[in-house]
Amino acid sequence: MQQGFTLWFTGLPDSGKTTLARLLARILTEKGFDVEVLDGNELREGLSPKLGFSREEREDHNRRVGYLARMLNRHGVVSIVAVIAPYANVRQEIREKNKDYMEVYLECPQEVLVSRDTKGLYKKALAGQIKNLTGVDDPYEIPENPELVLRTDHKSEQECLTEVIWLLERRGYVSPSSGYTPEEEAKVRKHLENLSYI
Amino acid sequence: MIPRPKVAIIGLDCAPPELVFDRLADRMPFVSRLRGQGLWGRLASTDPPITVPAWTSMTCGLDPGQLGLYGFRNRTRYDYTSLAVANAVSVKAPRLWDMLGQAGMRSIVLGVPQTYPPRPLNGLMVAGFLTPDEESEFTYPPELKGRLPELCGGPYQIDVRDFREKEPEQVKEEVWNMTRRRFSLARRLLSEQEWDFFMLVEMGPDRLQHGFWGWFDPGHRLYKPGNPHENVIPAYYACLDQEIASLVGLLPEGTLILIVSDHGAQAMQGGLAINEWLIKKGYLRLKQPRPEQGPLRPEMVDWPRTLAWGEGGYYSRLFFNLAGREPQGALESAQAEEFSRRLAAELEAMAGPEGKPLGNRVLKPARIYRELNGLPPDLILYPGNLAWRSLAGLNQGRIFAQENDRGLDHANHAPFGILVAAVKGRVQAGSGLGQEDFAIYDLAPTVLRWYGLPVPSRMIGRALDMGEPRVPAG
Repeated sequence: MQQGFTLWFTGLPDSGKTTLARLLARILTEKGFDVEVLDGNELREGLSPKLGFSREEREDHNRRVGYLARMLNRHGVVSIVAVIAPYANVRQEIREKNKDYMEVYLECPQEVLVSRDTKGLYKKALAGQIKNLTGVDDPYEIPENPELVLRTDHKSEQECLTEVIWLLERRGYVSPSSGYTPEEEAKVRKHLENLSYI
Repeated sequence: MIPRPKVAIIGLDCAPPELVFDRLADRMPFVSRLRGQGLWGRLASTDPPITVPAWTSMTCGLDPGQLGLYGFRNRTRYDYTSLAVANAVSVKAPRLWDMLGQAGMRSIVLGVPQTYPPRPLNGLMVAGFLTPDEESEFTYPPELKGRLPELCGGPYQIDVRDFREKEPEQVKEEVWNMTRRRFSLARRLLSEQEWDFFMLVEMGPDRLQHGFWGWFDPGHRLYKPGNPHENVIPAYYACLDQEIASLVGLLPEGTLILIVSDHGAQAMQGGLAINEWLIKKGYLRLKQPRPEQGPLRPEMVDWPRTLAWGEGGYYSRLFFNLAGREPQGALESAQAEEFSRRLAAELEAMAGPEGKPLGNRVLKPARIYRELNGLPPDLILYPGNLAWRSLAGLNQGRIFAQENDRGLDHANHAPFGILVAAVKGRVQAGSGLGQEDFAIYDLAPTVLRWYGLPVPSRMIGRALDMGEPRVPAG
């Protein structure tokens, strides 16, 4: 059975969590992994329909997501989580309970997030029409030691995904490429022989 | 961009302290002045003192055993053929630019060996030595490659190709052009790009020294006073000093400048045909009739009667043909330790061609490394303490050779490189006075400390005290 792991994309709304989660899922599926995307946009309805957006309720919901991710990992399924997870204490709890857990913080300046505003939430929040939007009138505690930080205003989706894959290779979850093609290795060997290094 | 401390590492592959600090110091007035402002001294390299793993050890702060990298080629399986050439994918630990990138710092990394294929980073990278050739995708981001000719004023050259097939004048010209263009590239990127960390490695010193040392060093057996190539190495170091001065001129005040080399250089006296010696000792047996000369191939070896074999290069690795480990292992595990001790003693007692002790040094990986990752060699041999190189090929039964099995080579490596550490615009208290030895593992902790970042406990060096960083104004 393949080893499951949890990769949690955390960050403010519109920082790119869902986009990267879905693209990563496609890549890992092509590599032969069983993958489940746990997307914050969909999870509340199924997992926590009666929870609101107070601190305690958000913490509770995130703990449930962490638990679900862990259960999937036990059965060899990769959990790619795209959930804001604004509180450091809960992220730490999940990290301690989920053995194969990695956190990827998607960093993006607020002005860029507001310009993206794919669901119109920032506009409404800034106009006072909705409350409790993380990053506007609810806090987001920036991760201090994530496994990876991606500036999604600076990097393309492809660059971000390359870094995530490389993280998974370094951690041994994904087999790395050998680095050289056979032709490249032959060229380098010849060069080393020519230099008398071998 | 948020003002942050800056570090610039200028790497000179194989630059020896005997030249930079002593014999050619007057040809390097800028570097000599920098020595007077900060710390300087010999930089103890890795064991072995070879480009791979030395630069990777420097930038990871880990020893070769922790990295699982013992040379340019590393065993991938316990058989007689599987030696894979090291590349960036072989590096499983984060390097300085990875760690700094995690902390939001932006890096420019040029020409560092073992960075091909280039991995994503926060910044720019031009991969260095061990890149197949200039047709490869050797930059990050990929589109940087197309800009290189414009940025460096001509075709960018990763390394000198077909080294042994060229005339000395041609090699010299190529090295000069390669160096000038790499530094031009560095200056353009430093001027154009936002950066917090900069690192460049120039391979020129190593290439010139391997090719020209015998014409430069009066202690070399080939040296003749007044020969036409005598001034090539001194003139090159003078050129390097100017390039370094020009580059440092662009750095903001307060930048921590580290001028380093991965190892030193010394005259090469000749070659030790290690497998011929093992044959003579009865530890390696060939099928009959034995070939007289040429590469030693696994199919030539009588493996069931062979206890050990060696690989060549600027040092030697010895591998035991261990029963239960190698496919036709002949050395019983219970006897391996005793055999290892006996072999080491015999190697160290080896006499040279004139009957005097050759001065071999033998190292046991389990004793010198904190961990043993990957597939380490069973013994490491420095023939003549690196005054001799190791020849893996067959040599008509002769153990010593005055030419290597691939043609003349003038210089081998030496265990100490250089470190000059200074903060631009500052004179460090107690600076320039005397010198001490530093370790190649000290660089990574020093850089992390400069940025106020924690030093991972796995790193084995110490952070040098360069005072409090001053954030540059620009």
